[in-house]
Amino acid sequence: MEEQKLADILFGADPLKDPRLQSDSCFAATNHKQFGLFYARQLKRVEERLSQQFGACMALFDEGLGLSPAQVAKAFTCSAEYRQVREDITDLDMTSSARFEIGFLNFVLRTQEDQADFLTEFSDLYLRELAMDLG
Amino acid sequence: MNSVGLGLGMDTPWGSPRGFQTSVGPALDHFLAKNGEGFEAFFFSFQKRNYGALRTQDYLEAFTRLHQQASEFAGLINLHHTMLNLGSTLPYNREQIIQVTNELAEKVPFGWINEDVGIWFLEGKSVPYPLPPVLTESSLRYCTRTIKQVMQELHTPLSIEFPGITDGASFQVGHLDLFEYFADLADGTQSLVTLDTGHLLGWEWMQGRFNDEMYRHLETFPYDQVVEIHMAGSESKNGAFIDRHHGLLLPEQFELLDFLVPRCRNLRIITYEDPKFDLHGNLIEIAQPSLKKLKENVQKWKNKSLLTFYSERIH
Repeated sequence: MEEQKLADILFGADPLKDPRLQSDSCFAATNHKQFGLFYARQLKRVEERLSQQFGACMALFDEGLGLSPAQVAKAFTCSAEYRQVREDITDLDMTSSARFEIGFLNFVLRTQEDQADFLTEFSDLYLRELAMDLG
Repeated sequence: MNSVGLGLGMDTPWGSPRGFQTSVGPALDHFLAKNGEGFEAFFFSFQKRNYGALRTQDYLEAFTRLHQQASEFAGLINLHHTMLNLGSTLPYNREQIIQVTNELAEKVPFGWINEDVGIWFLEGKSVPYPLPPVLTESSLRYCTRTIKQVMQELHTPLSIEFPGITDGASFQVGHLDLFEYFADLADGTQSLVTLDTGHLLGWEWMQGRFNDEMYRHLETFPYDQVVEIHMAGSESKNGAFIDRHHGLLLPEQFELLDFLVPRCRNLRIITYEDPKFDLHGNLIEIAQPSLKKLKENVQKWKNKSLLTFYSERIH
């Protein structure tokens, strides 16, 4: 289905260079500039959500690994973990907030596997923030 | 032609003084107290309060309060939904959403519930601006079935809205024309219809159709199903249309309104959507001429419908 194709492209590795945008007939009328602007907004939205939900942990990416929140958001949106995230309420077994959080934590664990110091610092900070949230 | 009234439509996000906080936000409260008089209909939006599961009790108190407040000036109160995801062709479980909507509507009755036919959630993930549906025959068939199903399950009439198109956040997938797609959808479902002048201009301009060419294209539509027309703040920039929702209406929106109203014989409401106001509830100064002009326009249509009514009785 075309909408599934669109999601595959938008949440894929490099949406703006995805060959399906050029070759697939359902995208023949798609304005690539407008698609790019939409994608930029989508990334910004994910970046804002990550900053809102993970606060200081996001700053740690910058300090520890030289990765800006925008770069982290970009990598996360094309990850397998993000594909499993639902922000709507159609999954009733777990709240979408928890699902988003677990998805991101899994993404961090998988992608930073070889950065032991960073992971230690990240988990310390995350647990400290979590403890503060729980009061 | 029915008598047409002036409506007020408000975007009511949670956690904002201009929307809902624990109850009605103070700025919204002030705005309605100062400006409500003269509006005959009112709608507010049903947005998610948090990222958790949807529960009726999280919304009921605030909705009841706003409904009561709006009932002091408006005779018709509607709900603008944002979770039905009517334009999506991917699996989407509406069961809980419809159940909560019906439970709310039982306590807080609405004339109708409307939502733009768009993709609000793509694969379960919210998007920065709702996308138009995929413009293919199979998507049209799928969305027709979805809307018929939602109409059956909702206890309140559904009004489908022509989706928003804005420069910088909208793009087309598929080959069909969105206006013709939407006309088929309206005809195929026999749903009530809401048209938004900005959304229509957004699509037509994106296709390079302006003025006479645009009006020729808009000529064929099941206009008898239209019950509401939205007028939301917009901006025009070098031929591109931006759906700003900032309260300032374009001359092109008024021209389009003049085109639409005589064709919509069952039109009930022309709605000023998303006025911008300060924390004291005062409409921002630069938007005031737009609202004044809209009020004059609605009065013009009211007078015309009265004239029609009396002339039909005389003859």
